[in-house]
Amino acid sequence: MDLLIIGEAEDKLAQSIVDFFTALNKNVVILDVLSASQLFTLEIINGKVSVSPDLPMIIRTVSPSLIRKNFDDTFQYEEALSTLWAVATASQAPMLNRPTPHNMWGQIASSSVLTQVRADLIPDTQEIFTCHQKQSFSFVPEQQWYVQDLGTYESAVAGEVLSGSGPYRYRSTIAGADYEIVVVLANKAWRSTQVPLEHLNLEDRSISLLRKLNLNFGVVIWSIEPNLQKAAIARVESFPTWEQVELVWSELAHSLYEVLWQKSM
Amino acid sequence: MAKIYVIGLDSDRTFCYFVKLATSKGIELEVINLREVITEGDWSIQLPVDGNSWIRSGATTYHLDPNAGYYCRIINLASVQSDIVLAHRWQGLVVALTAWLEQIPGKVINRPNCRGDNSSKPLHELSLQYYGLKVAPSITSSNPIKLAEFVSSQQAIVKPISGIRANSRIVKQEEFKDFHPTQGPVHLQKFILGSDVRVHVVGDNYQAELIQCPTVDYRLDYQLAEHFPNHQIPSDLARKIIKATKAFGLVFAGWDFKLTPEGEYWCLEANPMPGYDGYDRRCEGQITDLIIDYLTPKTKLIPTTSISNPNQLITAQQGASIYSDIKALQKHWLVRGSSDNIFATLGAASYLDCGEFKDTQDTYFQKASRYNLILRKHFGCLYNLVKEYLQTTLGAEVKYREDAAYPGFHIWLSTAIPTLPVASMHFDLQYQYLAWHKPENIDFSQSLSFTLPIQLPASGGGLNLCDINYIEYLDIRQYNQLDWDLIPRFRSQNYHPYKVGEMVMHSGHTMHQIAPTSTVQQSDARVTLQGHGVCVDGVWWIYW
Repeated sequence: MDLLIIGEAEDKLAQSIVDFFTALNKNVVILDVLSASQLFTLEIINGKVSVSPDLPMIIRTVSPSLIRKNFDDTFQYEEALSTLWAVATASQAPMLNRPTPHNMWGQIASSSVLTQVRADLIPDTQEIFTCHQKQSFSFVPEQQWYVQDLGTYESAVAGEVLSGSGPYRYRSTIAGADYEIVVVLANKAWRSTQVPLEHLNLEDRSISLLRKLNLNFGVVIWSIEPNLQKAAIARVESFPTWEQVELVWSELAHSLYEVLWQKSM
Repeated sequence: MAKIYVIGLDSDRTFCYFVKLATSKGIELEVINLREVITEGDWSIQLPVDGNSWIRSGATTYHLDPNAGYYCRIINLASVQSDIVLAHRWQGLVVALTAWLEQIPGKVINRPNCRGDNSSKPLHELSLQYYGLKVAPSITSSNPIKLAEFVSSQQAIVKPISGIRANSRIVKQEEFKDFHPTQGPVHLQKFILGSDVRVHVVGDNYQAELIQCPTVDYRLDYQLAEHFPNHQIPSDLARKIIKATKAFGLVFAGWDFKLTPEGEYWCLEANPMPGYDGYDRRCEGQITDLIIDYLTPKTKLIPTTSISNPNQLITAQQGASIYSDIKALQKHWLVRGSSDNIFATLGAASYLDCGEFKDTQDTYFQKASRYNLILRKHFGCLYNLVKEYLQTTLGAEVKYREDAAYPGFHIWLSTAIPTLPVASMHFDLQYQYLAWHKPENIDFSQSLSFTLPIQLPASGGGLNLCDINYIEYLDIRQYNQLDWDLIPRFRSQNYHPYKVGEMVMHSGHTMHQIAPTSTVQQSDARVTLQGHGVCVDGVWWIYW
């Protein structure tokens, strides 16, 4: 095996990676968390760590359901995930978004403000987490409040009634914004549109942002003012979907090859 | 006295114990029972933190003071709910509250987003070894042959791999006879025979208890255990775990050790949310006192007025002028890399010219005497400025070593500028290449390294500092075989951004690395003035 993708067989991005590398005579396998964890042996003796097999990995797991089905299944899943966390952190092989002892998934938080703080940025947004829907909002110049139901993930302009039962996250962001997706891999970044946004340095800012979040692969979605003069971070994603990377796939795929088959990442 | 907020669950024994004891000591508490908030409460939590956040539980509204102290035992019960609405409420409240607690200026035990590797035992055990603690060998595998081999060579215990609480027990080789890989993975660790020691660290203090129990897990066989609070641990061990607790982002941690009859301490784990009540009862509330003391503000913060940056030696304009002079001297650059990736120095550098690849035909000292003339001629004012700055900052006399190289310039042009963390992590030990008068009287661990950025890429540049010093590195290396390439993964790192003209000083004995720049343009250059210093009889001698 040349590359292990830990995730789901239906994952379109994972499947595209398999197809691309298979054409280059690389053996790429997709396994779920439990099967993948059972491949490895991790020995630590007097500080000397050995991971076997030590191979390039991409971890693209989906979150388990919020309510556990039964104790035994949850226990075994947690044991498997913890094994992969240790294996991936201690491995010498190249990896996308290598976990750290701090956490397994990088430093992206469920709060946009917190994500920016963790990236040493001064937050350019406000957030309010509530149990029930709010009726009134403070005025923020040139910004619009949006609401997200944290149960259903349905979003709307604040004030509209959502169908779920909450809780809710309110967020202020640029009013009437357009969006630009920047795909980042290690020290390279690609914008998804040809709109002249060079003056906003989105590629550089996206690389720097992901690096501060302990990630080397991901997508930064920027909201752009209608006059194209200002960009704000709309979302950071360490598990990009196929649709988010599709427009730059050719460049990304070739760079994936460089990153996954050289030792210095 | 300022009040302390206590956040947790009314079914948590430790939470209830703290509330009861702190109340009996006259501490004013705001007790927030999360279960009640979920079932009959409400909340509004605002970020960035602005003092307008609140949580309601029944008829009581708790206004969350961001400057107060918080003792938190937040347990997310979303996964054990039968009602999805309640599960979402748990998840939403915990996400919001932990995001808020991570950012407030007040003191928090323990602040969320601390190091989480306690939830992966093999990783945690490896991590502990990078902080100089002895940890018993382990294997994590689904391979029955390897697991059986491990057990055949030593007595071993089996533990959960994840953070799920379970009892440990001795495992036997025959248990792997019918073991199928689909039953894995399994984590085994060599069993260490000895007493147990539990150490609660709170900030810079600790309280330890020795436990003697004839069985493997004293928590299981508590009726057989004898407890000896106020146990003294070696000062070196105390220093290590206090440092590691802080490095893990914790204030309060429960450390578990095995103490062998030979007096060796083997670390089992550092618990980030210790259930400490039983230990505290036996030491008459000393741990609670430490928690209360930490969370109670001692002094009022005095707002500081901003002053101009004292580390700013030259302006950006002066930096550009110096860079222009450096470019004019390009024929004197000592090119160190390939012609495609220009990395050069203007000046001799002991780490390059005395090291493994030294030029025996043109030695460091020969280069130094040549280049010192050039550097002094063209950058005399800069050297005077640096000397004055160092004298003021170090509060001692500063001299350039005339028999060695003056501080010189590192020059990277465009493609040579690192955009990945590939530069070596290192200590500055180049003083070892130079002769020093009465070296036995010199404390080289107090050596100095400095950088004055002259020109930086458009997207910036900086320094990565790792929280390990050379003495600690030598100490850890004595008794284990850690892979030092992995240090940046296991020890805390700080990124220090450079600014043109702003002096950056650090101990050369702190592990560091040139931080990668995010993107590089064709016109970019990274040029810095580099130097080192060693203090001899009250005089700092500067060289490169």
